[in-house]
Amino acid sequence: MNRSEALIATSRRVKTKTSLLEFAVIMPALIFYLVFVVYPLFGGIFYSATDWNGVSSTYHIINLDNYVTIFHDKYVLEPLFNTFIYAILTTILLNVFGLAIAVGAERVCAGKNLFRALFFIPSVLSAIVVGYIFNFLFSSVFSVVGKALEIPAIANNLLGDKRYSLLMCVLVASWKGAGWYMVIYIAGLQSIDQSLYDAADIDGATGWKRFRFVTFPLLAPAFTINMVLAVERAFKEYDLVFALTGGGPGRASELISMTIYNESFTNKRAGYGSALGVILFLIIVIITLFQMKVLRGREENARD
Amino acid sequence: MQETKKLRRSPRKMLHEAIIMLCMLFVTAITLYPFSIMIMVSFKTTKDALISPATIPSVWKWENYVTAWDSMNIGTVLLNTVIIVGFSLLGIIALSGLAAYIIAWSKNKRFYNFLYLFFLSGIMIPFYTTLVPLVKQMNAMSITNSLVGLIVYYCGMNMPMAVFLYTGFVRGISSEILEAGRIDGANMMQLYWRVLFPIMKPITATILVLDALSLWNDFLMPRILLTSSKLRTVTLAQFYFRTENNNKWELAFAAYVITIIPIIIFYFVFQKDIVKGVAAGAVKG
Repeated sequence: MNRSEALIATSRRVKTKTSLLEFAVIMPALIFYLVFVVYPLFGGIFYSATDWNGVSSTYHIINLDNYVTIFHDKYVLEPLFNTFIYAILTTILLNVFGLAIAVGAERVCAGKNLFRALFFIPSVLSAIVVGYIFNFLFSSVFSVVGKALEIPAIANNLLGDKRYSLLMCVLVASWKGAGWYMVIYIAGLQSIDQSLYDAADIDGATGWKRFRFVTFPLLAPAFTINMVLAVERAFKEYDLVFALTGGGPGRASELISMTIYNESFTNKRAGYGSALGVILFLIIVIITLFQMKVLRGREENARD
Repeated sequence: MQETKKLRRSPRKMLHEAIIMLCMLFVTAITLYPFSIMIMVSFKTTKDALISPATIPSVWKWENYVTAWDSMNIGTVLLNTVIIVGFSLLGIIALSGLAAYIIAWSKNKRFYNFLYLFFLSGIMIPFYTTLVPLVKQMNAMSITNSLVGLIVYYCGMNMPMAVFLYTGFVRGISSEILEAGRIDGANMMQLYWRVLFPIMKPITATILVLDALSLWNDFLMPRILLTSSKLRTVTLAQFYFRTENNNKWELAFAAYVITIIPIIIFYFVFQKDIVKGVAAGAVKG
């Protein structure tokens, strides 16, 4: 072996040693991820093709039967429909309220930081506490006020009314979450170059026009983020609606996440619950990809 | 200076400012109203709480807090939650930071880019899709009904997002800073902890505050995993306190005031980091 060959061999050995070491460093993160996310995901897809009850040691492979059943199961279709309504309405309200209080908190002449800090507080509370506080407000405070003012619409507990319970959940979710979206919009507002406003002033644009033609288009990135975030969170919502109504009355405000939990554990239909989980996953992936495509396109347009 | 500025304000502009201020005060009132009801009810008698919920208490019943404190076992509950959140954060930060270090700077770009995308794909997976096999597997590993089980689960569940945020950050740093360290003879791990980890401080803060909030407030997984009453977390205590003290809203609300104080303090102490983190975490996500 001559010198240069020996050098190459050593450098190879060093290389293998480095790459082994590198892999060893990344390994723990990979293992945690595989054990608690990846493996259960494939497990979920597998169990969705079985009639497993979640307890017994045996089960049968029933292929796509669970998926066929889902499309005839009104106890699933109703929550699924509710979830879509909930997602659409919370996404609209969270963005409208979030943007409104962001603009307000930026423009207000005094106490900017104080207002911002206050509006964010509901976001740091647990959904359980917020749910129970509003549960009390609806049952004991709002209805009393409604009776006193003789407004029949709110003289009863609206959470216990089939027609309104889901809508009330949407309102409480907006109360709780608006501050979070405000923070993202404020970051967007602060990144807008002041010279653009000066240019708009010269063109004579004021008030609404200034907002419509300067602020809003330039908020496009923040808007994209908030839309995607709101939809994803709505489809994963459980705690808040659970504490507010428990899905009731009947199934009037039941979300698909609650159906999955109930089927998997309470009703002992783990296979069926898994199939619902897979459906939820597909819905979230499709909607998110669609949103990214549409909204990113809008961002490109805004930039031109 | 101030004087001339004030003088220059036109009446129209002042009206404008007054309207904005009024709107902000109105939103503040809506935000704070539920809290004021909660605090007032927490001092009332059971009867008072049900009959006149929206008034200032006629008698201030401080005992509610003593009763709530005792029956909730608040010490254990807080300790459990702090242990869970603390160790989970430690695991998430330590492991995901190292993973990002390798992903961003390894010479073996193709392989680690693939691993990066593999981590990334985990962000969108909803918890509900993994629920059944997850619980089965944790039963098989005998880590249900233990704090350790919840901690390792949180580490795994939050790994993808943390790896994603860290990698984005490390990729923005010039790897030349490593060369300086290498000349000094530092090995791979020394380079990470001495050189890179201090630089990563801003993104570490982001991950810490965001995960701290979400873990502290998580409800469903503790509810599934922790069945023993000794292992209750803050959210579980809030949940059981309501169901176990039916119609005693004043006790429940006293308990809620006690249990939200830590998170409110956390919020005001780390407010800057939280606000920055929400914006930064969102931009990357």
